[in-house]
Amino acid sequence: MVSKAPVVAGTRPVMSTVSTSAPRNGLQRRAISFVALILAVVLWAAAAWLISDNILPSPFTVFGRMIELVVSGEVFVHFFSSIQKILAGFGLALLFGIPIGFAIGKSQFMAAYFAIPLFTFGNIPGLTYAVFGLVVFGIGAGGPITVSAMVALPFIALNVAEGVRSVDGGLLRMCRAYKRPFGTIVRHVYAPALAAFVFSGVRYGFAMAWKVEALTEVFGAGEGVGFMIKRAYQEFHVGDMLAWTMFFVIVMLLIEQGLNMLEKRIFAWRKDLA
Amino acid sequence: MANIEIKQLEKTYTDAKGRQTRVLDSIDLTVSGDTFVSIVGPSGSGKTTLLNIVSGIESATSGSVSLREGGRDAKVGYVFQDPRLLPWRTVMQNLSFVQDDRSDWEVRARHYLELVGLGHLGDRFPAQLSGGQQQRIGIARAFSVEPDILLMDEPFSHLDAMTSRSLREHLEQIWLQSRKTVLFVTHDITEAVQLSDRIIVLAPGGRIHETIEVDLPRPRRASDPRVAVLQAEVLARFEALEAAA
Ligand SMILES: Nc1ncnc2c1ncn2[C@@H]1O[C@H](COP(=O)(O)OP(=O)(O)O)[C@@H](O)[C@H]1O
Ligand SMILES: [Mg+2]
Repeated sequence: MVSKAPVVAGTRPVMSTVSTSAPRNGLQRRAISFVALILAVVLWAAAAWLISDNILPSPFTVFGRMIELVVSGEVFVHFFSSIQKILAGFGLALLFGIPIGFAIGKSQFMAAYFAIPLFTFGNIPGLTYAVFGLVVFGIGAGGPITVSAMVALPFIALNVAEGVRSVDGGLLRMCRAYKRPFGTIVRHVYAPALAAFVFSGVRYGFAMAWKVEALTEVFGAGEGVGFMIKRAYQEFHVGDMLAWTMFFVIVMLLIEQGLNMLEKRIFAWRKDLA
Repeated sequence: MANIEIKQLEKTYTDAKGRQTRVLDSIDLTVSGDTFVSIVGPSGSGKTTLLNIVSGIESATSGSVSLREGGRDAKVGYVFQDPRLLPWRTVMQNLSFVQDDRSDWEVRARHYLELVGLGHLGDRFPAQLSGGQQQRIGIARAFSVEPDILLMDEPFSHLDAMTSRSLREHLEQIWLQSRKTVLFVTHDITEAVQLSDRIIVLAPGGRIHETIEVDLPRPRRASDPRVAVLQAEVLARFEALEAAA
């Protein structure tokens, strides 16, 4: 699984992820998703019936394997390992990305200075990152952590920059007229104005970091989801490979759901979400 | 008693090519006590710039501004042309945001929300209010800091005639109760005559063209013939000024 690198330079923050033209209600939407899922499983079963089990095992085989992995606890060990590394890398990306984004948003000079490095970071193919992680850090956690940080950083920095530029000058003048201290302005004006942009940076950055981190584990790790997919591949256990991939997708979906819920709560003030 | 003293105030903007534009030109103005002063003038004559300098949002090129109350610096409230509320904070949180004196701010905030007729909307977000309601919150916010000096920049200009008329009456009532020094920018002569003790006419280029004292009993009705006569007079002078520009 080689993930395609995103084009970061043109990335525009997606403010409204909850679109107003979505199907009329959540129940209906869920029903459609469910039908699509059933249909996909049926197609898969049909294909598996035609093709040798060694190449494409049936969904029931894979599902059985998934249950075994859950019961044995292996899933939790390896996902925990991967998620730990991604969170560590993501923390680093936020730590550097937010101040860099602030600088870019506030100063033309900084915007010019960071334009090419960020473009480069955002456009290096995932495979290059993976190999780089292995070469520099060898087998271990260092590679995946650094790589997820580098992948997520441009998303966060560019979105924060966009957020800083979007802060309403009228509100800042209001703060001056009422002599608000700087700390108060950061907390009540900058932070909330930036939240939407940081959020969309986090959303995309996290998805990218996840994929590239797993790829890095394929080359340079002794545990984690990417490592398990590679091992299954080496031992030619297609069923295991698919089982791990399914888990990967499920976890991504759960994270997306979690982010959606968090977003609704944080942005209760927004008319379009209210 | 609050005291505003503006001496030889000048403001010049320099653009990217180094060209200079004078926006305010040797402004001298002294206001003391609970006087309601309106500033009228054609668009671009520097009214907003003057309020911004008085409030400390912008700095003057030269000259001085002093705002005093008794022996200390005066506290200032500012009502902008647009509401300028924090969209991510509720109405009450918006009022809380500007308070220095935390002791009984909630009582004050609720009191002024009641006075502008929005006591029941404290938990709403600005996006859940109409434009007129948002502007009223901006007025309540300015009063809630119990300012010694109140600055208002065309606070009713974005509103429809009905809403602005009712808000103007609200404002007059609140002002009659709380009696503050007010600098009120407007381009509406009717509004100026109805509300002010003194009207200052700014000419293009940012000079004070003339000062008109209004000595009519309050509350004033727009239908009062004396108000109508004075309006016509001020309007005539204003039109002469615009024609000369
Ligand atoms: N930040 C600025 N830079 C340059 N020129 C400005 C700036 N702000 C205002 N001006 C100019 O100053 C003049 C007065 O503006 P303003 O005080 O907003 O007028 P008014 O409120 O009377 O309509 C206008 O000609 C405007 O173009
Ligand atoms: Mg103006």
